Amino acid sequence: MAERTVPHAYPMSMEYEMSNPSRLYDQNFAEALSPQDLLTPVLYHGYYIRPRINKQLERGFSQVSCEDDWYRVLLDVCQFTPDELSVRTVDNLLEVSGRHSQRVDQHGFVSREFTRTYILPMGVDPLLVQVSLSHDGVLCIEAPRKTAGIEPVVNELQIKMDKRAAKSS
Amino acid sequence: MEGVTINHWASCPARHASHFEGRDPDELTEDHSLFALPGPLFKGVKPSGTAGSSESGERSPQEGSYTEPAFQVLLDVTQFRPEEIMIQVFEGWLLIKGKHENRMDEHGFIARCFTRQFPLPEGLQAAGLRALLCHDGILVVEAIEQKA
Repeated sequence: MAERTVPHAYPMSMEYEMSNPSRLYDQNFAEALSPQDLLTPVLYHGYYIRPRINKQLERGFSQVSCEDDWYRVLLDVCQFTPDELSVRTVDNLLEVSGRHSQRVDQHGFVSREFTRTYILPMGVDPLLVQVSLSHDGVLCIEAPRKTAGIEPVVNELQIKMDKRAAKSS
Repeated sequence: MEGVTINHWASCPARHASHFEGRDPDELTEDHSLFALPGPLFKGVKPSGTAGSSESGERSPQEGSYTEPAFQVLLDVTQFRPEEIMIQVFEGWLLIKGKHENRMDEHGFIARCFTRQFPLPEGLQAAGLRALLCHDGILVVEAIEQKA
């Protein structure tokens, strides 16, 4: 996020300012607006921004919670229908992708595509991941986590003495 | 010559604060040029002190004279950078495309892509349109001509 040049529009939680928030907002994208969807400008970090009426705290979020014995991801995918979504794991990566072809909404035609990749933490078996979709469009991805038996693999290395000077190339 | 004063960023005045002072902020919600980032076609808002003098070729709105353009489209592009947005006009349709490749965020990696189409009113050409990208993430594409 270091490359962001435009101040973020939604100071919706203090957590957002932290480096590692468990919940991200504003993940719904390509929403068309009407002029009456824009609310009165408010001052944020020296800039006036206009909150939007269609933005709600409980929509368009991504939430990761990781405990000692389970791992859960909640992702709001309400812009997509179940058959437009796919979830897969590649090694320890969890890929959620959605794609819908052109469809009509109240503002015109729109097509969207996204791929979101989560990194599974230590102790989560990618083969035990389960996915469910709630009726209001929140994807719930859960997996059991086992942290008890994990021992760090330590390998002490021997340093060999070399009489010649270090090779520069 | 006055000495150089360096202010901490937190004490900097708000952007275009002079436009907001003493006016009902509700009225300024649709004044998109107050929020727009400078671009090739948009040089910024002139200071409100000179708002009374009308310069030819200036597009910044006069006090309280906001009029509705003949065609206007608002799109939320908070997640995209300016260079990732493409606007095209094709056979009476306005196409707005946004695409960004895998990028890191707080939860991993994310790639997004969208295309939106809006029908243009009869007779409106690409030359009659202008686009503003506001720093609060709203892309405005509107006709230069105002509603008759």
